[in-house]
Amino acid sequence: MLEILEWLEASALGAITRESLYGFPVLVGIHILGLIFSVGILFWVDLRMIGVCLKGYPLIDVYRALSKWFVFGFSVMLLSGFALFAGFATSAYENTFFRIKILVIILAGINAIAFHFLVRRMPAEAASADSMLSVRLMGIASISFWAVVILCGRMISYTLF
Amino acid sequence: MEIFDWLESTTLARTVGESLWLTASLSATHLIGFTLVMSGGIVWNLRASGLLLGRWPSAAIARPAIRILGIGLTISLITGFALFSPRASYTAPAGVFQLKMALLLGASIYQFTVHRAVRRIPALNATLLRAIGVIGLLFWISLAVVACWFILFE
Repeated sequence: MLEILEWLEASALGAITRESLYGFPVLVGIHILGLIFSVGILFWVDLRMIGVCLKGYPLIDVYRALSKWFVFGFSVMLLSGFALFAGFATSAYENTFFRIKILVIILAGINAIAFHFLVRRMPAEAASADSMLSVRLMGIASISFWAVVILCGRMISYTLF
Repeated sequence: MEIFDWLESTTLARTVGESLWLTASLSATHLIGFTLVMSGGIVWNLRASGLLLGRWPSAAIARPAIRILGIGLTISLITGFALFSPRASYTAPAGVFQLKMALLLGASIYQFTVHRAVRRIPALNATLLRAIGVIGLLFWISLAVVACWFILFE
């Protein structure tokens, strides 16, 4: 594992992130913008899942209308996050907050995939999901997971460098 | 300035300044608050500009958006003030900080004023609503970019 991380750090991408004058600040900026955009929009779906806002609109419609926007934001966040990781792979790998962040991102991804398949398999039930406890719990879990991801992301910048 | 020197000598400033964990936790909570601010601001203006949720009445989006924005602003201002206090005399004169504050103030005043206007006139002209949304998006996206710049400045 360490060899792969060292190879990644030594790659052109790693060198640009670490050594270029603007590489690191620009990537951090893009990463935070992607996070604000994706989590900010996903938050609306989560609130609808919990039944806090947009109650008059079917959950499936809210999900379909917003999904392409937050998927775009997540793609930006993942690509910039990978480039940032490439620059400091070995020290990031040993950082506790980085490990928690990755673990929670995986959990958030599993939660999102579970919801996606629930919507696909039971569109009628998901459309009127106000009474479904599982959907509410998924919404609460999603908000909690992304709050932890943001917390850990900020903690990384205070403990890694 | 004397007020910044006084602020830096307060118990709040000394407590925050002496604890890396408290600073990091406040900074993380500040980013969560800022994400909520952007969530309310961006979704509202994407809807107004017709790029998002176009089939739905703007009032249906405006009401929750303004609430999310308000909660986010409260979290951001409280944590932001705590973070500002130990480094007030260093941060306050910085151009990037002043720009961030000016944009935050401008965007917030704009959003709350527009929100009241849209509530009063539910059948607002579509072109006017679109222009309102585009101006709002420019405000919030500029603020996000400057906020990222400020994080790097810190």
